[in-house]
Amino acid sequence: MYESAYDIVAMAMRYFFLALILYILIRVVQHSVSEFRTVQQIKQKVRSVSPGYLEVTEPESLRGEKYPLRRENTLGRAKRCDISVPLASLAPVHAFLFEKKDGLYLADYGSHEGVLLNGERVGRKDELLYTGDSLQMGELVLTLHLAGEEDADA
Amino acid sequence: MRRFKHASAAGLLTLIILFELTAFSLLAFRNSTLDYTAFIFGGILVGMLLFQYIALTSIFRHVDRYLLIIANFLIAIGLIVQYRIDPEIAFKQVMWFGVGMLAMVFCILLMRFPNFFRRINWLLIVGSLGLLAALLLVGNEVYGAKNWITIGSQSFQPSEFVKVATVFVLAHWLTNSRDIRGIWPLLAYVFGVVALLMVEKDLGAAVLIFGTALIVFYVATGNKGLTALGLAGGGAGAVASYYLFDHVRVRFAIWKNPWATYSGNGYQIAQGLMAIASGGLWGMGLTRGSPKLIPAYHTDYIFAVICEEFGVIVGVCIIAFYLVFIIRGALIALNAPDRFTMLVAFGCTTLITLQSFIIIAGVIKLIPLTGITLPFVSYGGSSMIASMMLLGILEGVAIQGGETLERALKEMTP
Repeated sequence: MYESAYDIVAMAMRYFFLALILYILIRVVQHSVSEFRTVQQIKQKVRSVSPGYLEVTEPESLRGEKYPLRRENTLGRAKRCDISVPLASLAPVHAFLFEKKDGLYLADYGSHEGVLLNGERVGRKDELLYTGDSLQMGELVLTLHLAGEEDADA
Repeated sequence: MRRFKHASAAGLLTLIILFELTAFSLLAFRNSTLDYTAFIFGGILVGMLLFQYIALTSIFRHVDRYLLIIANFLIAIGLIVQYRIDPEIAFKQVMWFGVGMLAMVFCILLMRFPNFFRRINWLLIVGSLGLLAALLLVGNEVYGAKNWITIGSQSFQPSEFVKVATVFVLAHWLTNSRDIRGIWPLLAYVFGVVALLMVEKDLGAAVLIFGTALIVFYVATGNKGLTALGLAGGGAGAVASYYLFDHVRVRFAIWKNPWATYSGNGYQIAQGLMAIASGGLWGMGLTRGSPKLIPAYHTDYIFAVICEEFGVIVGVCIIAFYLVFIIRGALIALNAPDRFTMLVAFGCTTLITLQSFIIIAGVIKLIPLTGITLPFVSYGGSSMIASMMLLGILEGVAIQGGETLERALKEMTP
């Protein structure tokens, strides 16, 4: 008597368990989607604020050109770079500029020509950049202007 | 908006607690005499879950709540099935769960200094190769695989911890370099680990580490040619091992037809398939199956036991939970503050989910069975601690990502 009653309860409970598990699963998916949207919006907002821009000083043909920076930028000859400069002396992906908590950093992406920061070659270490620094890659020379550290019109 | 808040997952936690309490009440009334230990066990588990969730979310604001919920659900269903099979192993496992929680918190704290892992990278390489080599000398054989080390009364499985080390080795080398010349130590490491595991007959771990290395390599470099080459190399290695090792041939033969050797080698797979089939779509109901007929019912084959008692549909739900785990892990990797932590987070995600798919596919006879545990669900101290460490690393990266994003938000609105 007890056992058959218990069997019926156990049989009935499996539907309860299934409903519970399915509900948890669906809620996790729903929450994930909505949280993803929120994070995406915040990232969009953050990305819309630029840390500064790069201005070309050499070569002659591109002088005065300005490239706005994002929080992470690749720089090179290839079209897929965030900052794409069509010069033959650049590697397809030449350098990498990225923001960390204490400022903007520069790293060589493993190019043949190398990256010269104020005339010195950038090694394996990431280099912290300051406003007014000059970056030389092949025949391209850029000057960095950081936002918030210049005159209001800059 | 100067700080962003995460939605609370307390509702889902309540549902998991409800699931545990009802399941343990059902187990308590299993015999005509009331089993008080089931209530005590359920109470301990609920207390641990509440403590873990409240402590983590109040100390670390950016902890990923849904990963925690998924892991806790999987642990809960694992412990329920283990208690139903044998209360003694469930009590052991809940102790390992406690140790695993400590390991998780430790990993979360360590991930605040990700460069620490990059500095001890050579130590990790030498350590894991050394551990696996030591297995050849002092390892104990369990189920035909020589992958246990016994110290005193405790035995542990080094391959579980080698997995965790592999994540950091992969991320370190792939952060630094993008071409094949720069990562030769990584290639040598992966080759060495896989070869050692093959010799020790731990096929599951070998396939898992090779697969993870390949996937993380592809994600890091995006190099299709080399990935295809690696895949082809892996295939060639698999074929070679088929001719070299007897146990691989046996596994393959069982996979092709487990019923031919039903009374011998094929018994486990055949019993597992019969258990799943007898459960059917809706299951037989908790406590109404006969899981002890399957060898390794509480470790590798726990998925078959769950399918028998809760039904195939809950089995599908468990696979879905692992899928959501991939998505959450990939999102954490995308929000990671730098390349190294991104690769670490992705490696952890790949490891956990690939492991679950290898063993689930083995149990349902989709691929040849290779004995590894189902992460979070199976019984096993090393497995539980390693899974919790991987979870902790993921949570650590999630916290770092959240803090970075919040810092950026603060700078935006002075």
